[in-house]
Amino acid sequence: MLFYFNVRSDRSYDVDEEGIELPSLDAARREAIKSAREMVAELILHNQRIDGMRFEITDGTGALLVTVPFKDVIILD
Amino acid sequence: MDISRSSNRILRSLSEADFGLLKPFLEEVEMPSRYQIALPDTLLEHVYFPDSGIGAVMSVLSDGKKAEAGMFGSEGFVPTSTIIGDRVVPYLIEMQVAGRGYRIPVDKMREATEQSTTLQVPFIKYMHVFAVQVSYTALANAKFRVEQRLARWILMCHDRVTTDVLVITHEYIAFLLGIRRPSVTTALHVLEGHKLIRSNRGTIIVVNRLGLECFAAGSYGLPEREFDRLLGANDSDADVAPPPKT
Repeated sequence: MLFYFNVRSDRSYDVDEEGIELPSLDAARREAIKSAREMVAELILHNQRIDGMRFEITDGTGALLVTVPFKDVIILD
Repeated sequence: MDISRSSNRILRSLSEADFGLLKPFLEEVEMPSRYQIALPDTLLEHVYFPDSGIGAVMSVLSDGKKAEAGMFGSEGFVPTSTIIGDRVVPYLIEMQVAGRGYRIPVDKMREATEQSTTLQVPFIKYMHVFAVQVSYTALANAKFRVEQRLARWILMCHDRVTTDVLVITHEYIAFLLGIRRPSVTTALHVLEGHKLIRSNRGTIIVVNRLGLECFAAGSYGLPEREFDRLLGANDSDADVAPPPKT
């Protein structure tokens, strides 16, 4: 199934035009978590805000399937 | 085959005599996207001289981890170790953007290099320039942001094609840059936001070349100048497109 990994932040909404072929919504959520870690690392390294950034994963019809906030991937305790 | 009909920079830089050693054994070859030129640790049959298209030399591990080590087009030849007749490389080498060119059997290449001390010179220069490119890829990966690395990579592709339109998927870019697929979406949008490119499904259009060079900052340019220093200024033919750079 094709899942679209759109990124919403305070200032923009980046649309994923290509999508990623994955076997399930759970696989898509796990991919989002791994990607968010990679992106959060870059953002922190360059002293940028993460607050509010999230993946909004949609299907081919544009329906929102799951939201993965970037701040959820940071382990603080 | 007439040397002036090849766009490959290595072949064009050879003297008539040196080219004559290779000519009888060169055959034309089509190299579509994903055409495999070399598999890791697998016996190599040919040395390739692209006239067009873009290929990637990738470092791979048996567990599937891969990343692009270097890029080549009509400015070079692959696999580089074949110049001494070596028959294996640890790399995966395949075409990214379709092209065509020439190839010669590895043993014929080795025999030719044994018959001429000058034949090897442009090959060895190119191997050095390729090593410089790889070393600056390492620097870019260590010190520059994802969107700058992407800008650099787009510039390097743009150097190797004769159009502003690159036909390549986001999935493949992620694979080559060693980043996760969704990061490509965001990085492309940053470049679009600066009006440097336009990105659609399956294509990237270079809109502002100079802007991309500024954005890539020092991560792009040095290997290209090294190529010009060692292998540039060979062509004065008006019918050849501006030479691509390494």
